[in-house]
Amino acid sequence: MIELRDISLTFRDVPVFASLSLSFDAGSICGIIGPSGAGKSMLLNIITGSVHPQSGQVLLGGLPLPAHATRARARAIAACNGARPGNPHDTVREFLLLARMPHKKFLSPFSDYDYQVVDDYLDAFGLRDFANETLGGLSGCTLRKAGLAHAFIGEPDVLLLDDPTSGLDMSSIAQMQRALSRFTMRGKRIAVAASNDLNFIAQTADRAILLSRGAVALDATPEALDAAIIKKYFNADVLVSRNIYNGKPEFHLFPAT
Amino acid sequence: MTPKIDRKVSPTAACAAAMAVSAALIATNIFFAHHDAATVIACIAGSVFYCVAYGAPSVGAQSGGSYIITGEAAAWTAGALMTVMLFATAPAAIFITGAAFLMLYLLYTGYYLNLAVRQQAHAGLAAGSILAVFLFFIAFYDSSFNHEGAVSLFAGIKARPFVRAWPAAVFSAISCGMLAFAIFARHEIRLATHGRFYCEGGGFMHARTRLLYLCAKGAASSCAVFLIGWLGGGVGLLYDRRAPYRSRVVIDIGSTIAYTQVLLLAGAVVPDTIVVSIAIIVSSARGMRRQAYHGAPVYD
Repeated sequence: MIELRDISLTFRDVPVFASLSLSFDAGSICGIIGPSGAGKSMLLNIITGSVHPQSGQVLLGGLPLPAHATRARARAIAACNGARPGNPHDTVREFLLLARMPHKKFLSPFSDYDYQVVDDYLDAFGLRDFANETLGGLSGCTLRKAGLAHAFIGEPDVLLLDDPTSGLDMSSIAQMQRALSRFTMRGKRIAVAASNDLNFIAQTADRAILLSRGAVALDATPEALDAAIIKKYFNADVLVSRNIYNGKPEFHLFPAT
Repeated sequence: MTPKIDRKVSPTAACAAAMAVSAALIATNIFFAHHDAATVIACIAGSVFYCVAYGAPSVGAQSGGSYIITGEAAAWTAGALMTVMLFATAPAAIFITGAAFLMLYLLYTGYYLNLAVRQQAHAGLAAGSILAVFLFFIAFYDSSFNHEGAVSLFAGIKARPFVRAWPAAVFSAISCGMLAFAIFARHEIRLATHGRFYCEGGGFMHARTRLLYLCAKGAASSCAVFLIGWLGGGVGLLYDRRAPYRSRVVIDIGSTIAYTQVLLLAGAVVPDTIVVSIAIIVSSARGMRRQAYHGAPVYD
């Protein structure tokens, strides 16, 4: 379990969070939504430990984040924030294998299991045909999928995805939805996705947290999202329908006039 | 996706060719060009240092250009020139000052400024130009300027009379040790080249890892410039990334050794000035070819 306790953060003299408290339980996919600047990405950065709040703490397995060794933390938390890999000469397979780094000893080779996990996610994300291509030659969508697969391959306890649908085509989004479901299926892992794609969150997440002005405006199942909430927090008029398969909400913008 | 030319050459055949050509050139230099064996061995060690520094085992972030392109050779040579002109001509003094200049340059551009590959090439061009202006100035205005001595710094240890068996053996042993370490640590080194996000996601402190990486690279690069001057491989590195790892390393090292041996052989026929000029042209042409044919890597 991961818990944020009384987090307060001011970034460039702008208050982002004031005494924010949240907890995420294992076995769930949690969607973080909110208008731009609400602090969705910042929240994920605080959980990874790359941004330090002015007060409050993040508890991972009951212990404050800094109490965990760097490698142990890397084994427990993996993130995908759209950062481009820095070395375009690596092949996709080589790059994905690096996600297993926290699981191997320094200077030792990767295990057969490491290679097997990489192969599994190459298939899960439809990257098999690109496995031996260099990163520098990939399209934006394929590079994005490689970044997402990299986060999954670490097999962390906590998976953090920042704007995961950005730059993905529909089949890639479907692949990621399946991978997310499989990831949390056994009930021991947590996935947190911060996104502007309300339909993705509504269809994929078990829980939706709406951030606004540095505070939690709504913490409920996605079914609770309706046109009035979208109008209030996103300043957009939408038509809300229900997915005929699962009954979850779908949001439609009105045609521009 | 960028279309690729499908290379049909088998990696095994390419390995055999690289090893055969380099062995033939080494034999030619010793038996026909009558180069001292210690000089040839020192050149081989220099080529191995070059491969370690420029990412043959691990594909470093700097693999887009040789030390001529990145300006490291210019920094080393500037330090060595100042030492020769102002302080001492002892090889150890030249090596230490050159290495200090190169390390400072590398840390400034690679750590403090954190330049990308393309920006590093711009810095290299600036460093090379400053060195050229400096050389031009002292060559015209300093009557005591030793032209041969200056050229010997560019041409590496081969032009110096102090090459003995023991330094060549020591440098060879160190180069093999560094190569072995770089092969074992290739995954960790590659992780460091992917930037802060992935490095810390892999469980390493990025700042420390990058600092260590640059220091090790600077040490290998300094040894390479000391031993082979500016004659380090403008060709060879980064053989087709889809080939098996072991084949790639052998091909890269074999072709780099062969390239330096060709220039060493050329040095027996034409003046060192021309050999160094050829090395600069080849390195620059290779850098331009990478940009022209492969396009700018996505992260430049």
